[in-house]
Amino acid sequence: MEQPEHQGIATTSNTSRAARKLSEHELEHLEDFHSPEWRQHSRHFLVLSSAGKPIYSRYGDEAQLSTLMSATQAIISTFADMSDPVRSISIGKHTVVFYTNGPLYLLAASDRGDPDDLLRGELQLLYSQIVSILTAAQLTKIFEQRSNFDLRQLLGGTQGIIDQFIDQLDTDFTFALGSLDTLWMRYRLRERIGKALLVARPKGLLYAMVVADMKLVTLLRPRKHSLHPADLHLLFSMATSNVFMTGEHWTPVCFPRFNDQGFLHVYIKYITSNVVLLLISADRDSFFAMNKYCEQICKDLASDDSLQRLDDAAAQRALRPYELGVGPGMLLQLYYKHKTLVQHFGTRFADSVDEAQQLRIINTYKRLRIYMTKGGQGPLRIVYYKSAANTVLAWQSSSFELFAAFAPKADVKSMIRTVNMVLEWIKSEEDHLFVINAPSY
Amino acid sequence: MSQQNSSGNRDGSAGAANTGPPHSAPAKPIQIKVVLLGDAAVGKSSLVLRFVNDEFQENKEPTIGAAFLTQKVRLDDTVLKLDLWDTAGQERFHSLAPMYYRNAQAAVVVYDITRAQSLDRAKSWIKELQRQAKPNIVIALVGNKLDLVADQENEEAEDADADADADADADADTDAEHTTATEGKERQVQTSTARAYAEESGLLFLETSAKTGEGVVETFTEIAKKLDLNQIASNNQAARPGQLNSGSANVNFLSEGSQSEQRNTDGCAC
Ligand SMILES: Nc1nc2c(ncn2[C@@H]2O[C@H](COP(=O)(O)OP(=O)(O)OP(=O)(O)O)[C@@H](O)[C@H]2O)c(=O)[nH]1
Ligand SMILES: [Mg+2]
Repeated sequence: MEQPEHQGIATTSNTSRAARKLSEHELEHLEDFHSPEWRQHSRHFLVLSSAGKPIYSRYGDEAQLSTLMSATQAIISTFADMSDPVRSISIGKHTVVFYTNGPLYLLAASDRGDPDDLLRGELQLLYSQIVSILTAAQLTKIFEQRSNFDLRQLLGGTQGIIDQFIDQLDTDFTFALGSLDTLWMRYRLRERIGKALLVARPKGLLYAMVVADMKLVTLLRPRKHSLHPADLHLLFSMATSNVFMTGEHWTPVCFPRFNDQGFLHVYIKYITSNVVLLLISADRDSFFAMNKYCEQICKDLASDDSLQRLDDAAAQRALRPYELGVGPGMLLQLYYKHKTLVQHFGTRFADSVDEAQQLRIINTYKRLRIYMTKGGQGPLRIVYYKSAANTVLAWQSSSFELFAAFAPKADVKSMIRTVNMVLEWIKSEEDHLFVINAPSY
Repeated sequence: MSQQNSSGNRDGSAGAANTGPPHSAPAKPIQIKVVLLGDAAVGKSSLVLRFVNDEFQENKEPTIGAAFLTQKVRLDDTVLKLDLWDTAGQERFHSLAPMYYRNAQAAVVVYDITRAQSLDRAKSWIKELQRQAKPNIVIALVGNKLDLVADQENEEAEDADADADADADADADTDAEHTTATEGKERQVQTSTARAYAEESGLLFLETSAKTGEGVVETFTEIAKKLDLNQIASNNQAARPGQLNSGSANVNFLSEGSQSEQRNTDGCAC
C-alpha cells in the first residue's frame, strides 16, 4: 500500500496521535469483566423461530433457558410492530442483544459485560452458520409453508458443530478480525504446496485450500474471484470437528456471502494428522474427481519430503512471541492483520499467561477493536488498556491492525519500541508469514 | 511432457505388482461399492470404524454429508476392495442418498435394536433401494447395538440376579450423556421379527455390535459371498471411461501399491 515508509510511533507522536489510555468506562463494564468470578459468568446464545419455537441454545441450563425463551418471545412480540425493532436490553447484570434475520430470532445474553456490538456481530455469525447448513432459501421456504415448523429436525446432528463455532468465537480473535489466519511457513515450502495444487486441477473445482487448525497454508482460486473470509471461517471452523479426522468426506455447504440461496459441495480430507485439504466444487457428482485430485496432490507432496515438512509446520501451530525479532521479554501475545492481503497471524501466548488470562486478553482485543473502528475517533490510532494482569495495546494504520498484550510492568514507551521492532521484523518476514503468491487459475 | 509424467503411473503399476507374489498374476482387487443407510445414530459410522480401523468411539459425532472409506479384504483367493459410503442419517441429507446408492453393488441398512422406530426407517430405505438402486443390489439388514441387550438376555436366560452393576467396567458412564445411558436399554426389535422380514424380502440379516465387534466382519463377508464377483469383475473392466468413478479403481490401487517405490524428485514438467 502507498503508505509513508515509516509507520512508527515517531511520526505518530509528533502529530496529535499519541497513544491514548482508555478508562474502564470507555470499554464498557470492565469492572465486571475483570472480577474474579468472571470465569463463572456465562454467555447464552439462543435461536428461536418467529413463532417462538426453540431452535438452538448454547449452555443449556433448562430452568434459565425457559425463562429466557419466554422473556424473549414476550419482548419480541411486544416490539414486533415497531419500526425500530428491539435491539438490546439490560436485565440485572445481563446484557441481552437481539438480532433478527428472515424467520429467525437470535439472542445473546452475557453477564460479563460484553459490548452490544460484539454480541451482535457474533449473532450475525451464528446466523450465517445456520444458513451455511440450510441455505437462506430453504429457511424462508420452510417457514413460509409452516410457520411453526420445528427446525431442530433439520438441524439435527449439527449441535456439536455450532457449539464448537460459538466456543471458537470466544477464544479466537480470527472471526472478529474478519481476515484469514495464516500458518507461518518457509516461503519455498508454501510455494511448493501451491504448485502441487496446480498439478491436476479437476473439472468443477472452484477452490482448493490447505488448512491447519483454521490457519491457511495456501489455496488455489479462480483469478477473478475470491470467497469472503467470513465464508471461509465457517468452513475452517467446521473442518476442525473430529468427525472429519478419518476417511474422506463430501457434503453440501452453503457459503452465505457467496450465495445464500444454494449449496456448493465440499470435499474434506485430513491428509496428515494436522493438515486438512478442503476442496470446493460446484458439481455435487464430482466426489471421485476430488478424491483422485487429492491422491495426486498427496502423492506429489510425498515424492519429496514436503508432506512431512508441511505436517511439521502445522504441528508448530504458531510462532511464540519471542520469535518476532524482539527476544524474550514483556510481549505476551500479538496479532497482526495485513489489510491489503486480508490476512493475519497471531502468536501463541507466552507460557506465563493462563487460560483465563488468555480469554481476557482476546476479549480486550475485541473491545479495543470495536472502540477504534466505531468511528468518531478522528486521528486516534493507538490505544491501550492497563489492568492488573497485563496491558493491551491496539494500533491501527491504513495498512495494518495490530493488537498486543504486554506484562503489566511494561510502560508505553517500551511497548511502542517493541511494537516498532516487530513491525520491522514483519516487513522482513512477510514472505513467510502470509500467503502471497497463491496460485490462481 | 505431462503425458510422460503420467507414465509414472505405469511405474506405479509395476510397483504394485512387485508387492504381490512374483508372476502369479496378482489379481487386481475387485472393487465393490457398498453404501450404508439407516436412521441417525443407529451406528453406521461406528460399524465402518470397527470394520476399517477396529476401533470404537463412545460418542461418535453425527456424520455430515457422507464419508468415504475403503478397506481391502480377502475372500478365499480373491482380493476385494470395498468402497464404503457411510451416509448421514439426518433428515436433511436424505435427498443426497441416491447419489451414493445409485451405483452401489451392496447396501447395509442399519437399525438400532433398542429403537423400534429405527427399523421402520430401515424398511423405508429398503423400499427405496428396491425401487431405485441397481436391480441386483445385495442388501443386508443389520440390527446394531447388540451389546446393549446381550447381558440382559444372558441374565434372563440364566435366571440370574438383576444386578445392574455387573457390567460397570464396560464403559465410562461419565461421557455417555449424548448417547442414551447404558442401563435401562431394552430390546425393542425381536430378532425373530426382523429375521422374518428380511427373509421375506430377500435380504441378508445379521445382528451386530460395533462396540464389541460382534457380527461386523461377518456382515461384510456375507455380502461378499452373496455378490456375483465374476460379474462385477467383468463389469469393472468394461466400465466406460466417461462414467463417474470408472478411473478411480486404477488410481486407488496404483497409488497404494506404489507409495514405497515412488522416489521421483519433483521433476518440473515444463
Ligand atoms: N453400545 C453401543 N453403542 C453404539 C454402537 N454403535 C454405535 N453406538 C453409539 O451410538 C451413537 C451413534 O453412532 P454413530 O456411529 O455415530 O451412528 P450413525 O448411524 O453413524 O449416525 P449418523 O451419522 O448421524 O447417521 C454413538 O454414540 C456410538 O458410540 C454399538 O454397537 N453399541
Ligand atoms: Mg454416521
